[in-house]
Amino acid sequence: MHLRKAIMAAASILAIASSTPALAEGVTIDDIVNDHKSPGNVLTYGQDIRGQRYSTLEKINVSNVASLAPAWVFSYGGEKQRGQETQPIVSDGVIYVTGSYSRMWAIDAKTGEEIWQYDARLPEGILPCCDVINRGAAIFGDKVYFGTLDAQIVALDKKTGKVAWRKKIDDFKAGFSYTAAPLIVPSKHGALIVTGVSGGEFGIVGRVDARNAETGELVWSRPTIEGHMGTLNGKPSTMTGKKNETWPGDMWKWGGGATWLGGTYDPDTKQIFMGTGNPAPWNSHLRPGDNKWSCARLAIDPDTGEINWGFQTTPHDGWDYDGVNELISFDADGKKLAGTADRNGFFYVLDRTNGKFHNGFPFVKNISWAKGLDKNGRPVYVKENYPGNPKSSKDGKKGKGVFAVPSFLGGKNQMPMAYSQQTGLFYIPSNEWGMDIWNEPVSYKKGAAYLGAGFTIKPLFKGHIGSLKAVEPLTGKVVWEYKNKAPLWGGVLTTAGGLVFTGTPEGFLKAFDAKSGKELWKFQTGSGIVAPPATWEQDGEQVIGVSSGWGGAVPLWGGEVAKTVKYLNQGGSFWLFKLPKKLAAN
Amino acid sequence: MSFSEIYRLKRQLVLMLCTFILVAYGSLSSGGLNAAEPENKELPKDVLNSIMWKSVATDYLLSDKNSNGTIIMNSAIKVVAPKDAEDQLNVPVSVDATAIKNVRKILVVADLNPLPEVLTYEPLNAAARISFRIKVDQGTPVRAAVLDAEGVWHVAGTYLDASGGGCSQPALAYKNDDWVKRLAEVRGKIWRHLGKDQATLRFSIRHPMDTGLADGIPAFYVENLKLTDSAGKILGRLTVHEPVSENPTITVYPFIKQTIDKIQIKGRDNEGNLFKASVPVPVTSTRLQTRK
Repeated sequence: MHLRKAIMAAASILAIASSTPALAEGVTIDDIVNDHKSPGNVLTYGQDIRGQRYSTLEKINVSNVASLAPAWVFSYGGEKQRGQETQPIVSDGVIYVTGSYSRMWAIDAKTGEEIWQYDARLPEGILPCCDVINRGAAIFGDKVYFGTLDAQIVALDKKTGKVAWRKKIDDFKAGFSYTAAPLIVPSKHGALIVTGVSGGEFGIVGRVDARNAETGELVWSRPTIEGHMGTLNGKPSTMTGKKNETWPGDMWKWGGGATWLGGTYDPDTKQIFMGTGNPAPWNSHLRPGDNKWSCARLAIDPDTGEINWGFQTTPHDGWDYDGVNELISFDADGKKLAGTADRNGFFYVLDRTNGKFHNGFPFVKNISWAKGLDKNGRPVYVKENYPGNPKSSKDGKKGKGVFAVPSFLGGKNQMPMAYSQQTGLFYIPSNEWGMDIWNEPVSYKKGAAYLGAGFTIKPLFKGHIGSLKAVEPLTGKVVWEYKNKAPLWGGVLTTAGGLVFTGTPEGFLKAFDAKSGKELWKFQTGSGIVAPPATWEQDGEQVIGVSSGWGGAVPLWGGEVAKTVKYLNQGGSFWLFKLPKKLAAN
Repeated sequence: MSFSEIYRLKRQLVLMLCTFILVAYGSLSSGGLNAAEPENKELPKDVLNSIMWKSVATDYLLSDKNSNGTIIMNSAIKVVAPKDAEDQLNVPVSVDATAIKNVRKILVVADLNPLPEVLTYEPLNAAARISFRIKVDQGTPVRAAVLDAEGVWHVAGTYLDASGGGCSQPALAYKNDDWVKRLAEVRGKIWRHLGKDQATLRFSIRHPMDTGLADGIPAFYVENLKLTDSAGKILGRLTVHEPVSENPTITVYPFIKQTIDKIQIKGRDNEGNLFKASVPVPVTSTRLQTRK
């Protein structure tokens, strides 16, 4: 035990460059990289730095999950409720969970009692596009970190909740904000805290920043849109892409590509995977070309901030199909692969060593904008399904409208999917919906919405929008499907107990048989669930934790969908579930 | 609903909450929950006869690692505050402890404030005097406790009468939606004292100094200040707490040589915002300081 600790300490010292201060005790970078192997804690967004959301715990399983019961519930309090999209971090018996309006709590995992609360003092006039949410914290050493709605990253002393440092990511007045869970990765510079930016609807340019996790000093920055310069150690490094290769004129300057959903890391290839959002503005006629690297997955070298490879899911997007969704590393057929379920309705399997397309398939029904994917994974476009050019209309004010599937909220949105090492299936929280969309003229103005489009969402089917699908990644076969009336927005967890957990806007946390899709358990949490559940072991028991609190983008942009959700009430609480003692013993 | 609308709504609920917190605080503190109670040491009788004296003494004075356990009432310390607060958001307080030898620090406490601790001043190279403004939530003793090099606390104070509500009101800054634009701006002025290596430094920091008791507005206040002369010598250190008034205005009396041309003020608030400013020292002394 002592030896192991000593080795780990030595390893982490080696990993830290000489310029950084001594590493404080606590969570090490090895702990983070091996998060999926330590069921006693949850140190990363995804329960796994690769994002698999698969737990090896099996104490709660198909045969006993029906008895799962709440142990305690913690209120986020105040009048500040709104959407709670957060996943907890758990370390040494303490739950660190973030909430709406840039708040964070440390909670005793045993009793549900608050240890501390931190409230960021937000300025007036912040510009979050899609509710005042936060997706979670990061942990390293003696600190916990999270991003605030005014686009700052805050490091807190994990024992006291006092601010250790605060760094401005960018100017909130220009439309920047921050909602993702930060990612902590190893590098030759030591542990880096990696963040993206939010604000894609305001004409900002997406980028990935990496800071020294101890001090918060910027190490490198990588813009996602071609023509913009990156930095390394305070100096300009290289330009992203080649200016005007896939963007006309000056349009790249406000080109979007927001990295608003954070990223994953693959320890095998030592790459950061970040997704990029839609190109700006939405009106595609203003920016002919592929518009790199909007709507893409980027593999970034943590040592240099250079892009190893990029894969565009929707080149020249015209429907707001952000390419931000998580890219999850997994191995199959003896190959190093990675899977992602895109907003555009297609599932992509990539070779994660080089970004080459392996296979792909639609995971939602009735996709209208593309007939399919070609051998390189490029969509085979249905040209007529682009919203028409406003310039071709009589008064030049509104282009021809089209009905496109999926809707701009996507076949899958921010809610993370899970990959089971037990079943080899991906569990995708998807939505079946389309939209009427039309283009309008627009020009860039700092801090103002930069869309150039109007839209309204419509359900495709009578009884449901939400669709949780169990999918074989190499064949595209849908093994089972669970249909939900309201759109799914909560994220998925799967376990070696043969279970799949997800929450619904109707307020239920549900457990399904991972093999058959049979619903085995549900519990009403009092408000809609838009957050991913997490599981860990404490005192020999397996527990499940989830945030409850309806909100996010659906109630704000919902269109006709509002009928399925308008009666849902807000909330803000954290629920912890476990098996009653007697059952757990069996 | 916009942010500002939400905040406006909440401001109307403020008073109720503050009253509740006061009651809750009072019952907690008088319940004898103080952990660090010294064994059998008699506290000197409080000249202000405050019901909070025992908890102030145990929480703030005897718990200090440099305290030798002795507390004495010492009227040589001058604590000046108005008898009645005209504006409970801005009550001027001055402490002059220059009569005490080897002052390590000056701690100011307003016993009956929901957050009693006001500030701590370490006059490292400065006279043991300080002036500032505070918020008060009701009539309260305001006391200065001065720790000397031996570890003895010297205590003096005054009673300040006030109508309620100073701690639970939103900062005036929030009347303006872009308050954050000028956050932590520092203004300062220095007057040299005639014939002495000393000056008066008055500075003000633009900061809302939220107590966290106004509903919906988290605590947000300047936490630390460090004053350094242009030769790099630290003149004084301040630990500031929530009850110091919005846009804290503080006057101190540093010792500075003729060669010093600037004093640097460096600070940090509880949200981790860092700020600094440099105040020029005039070459000659002015009339203001020669007046007695």
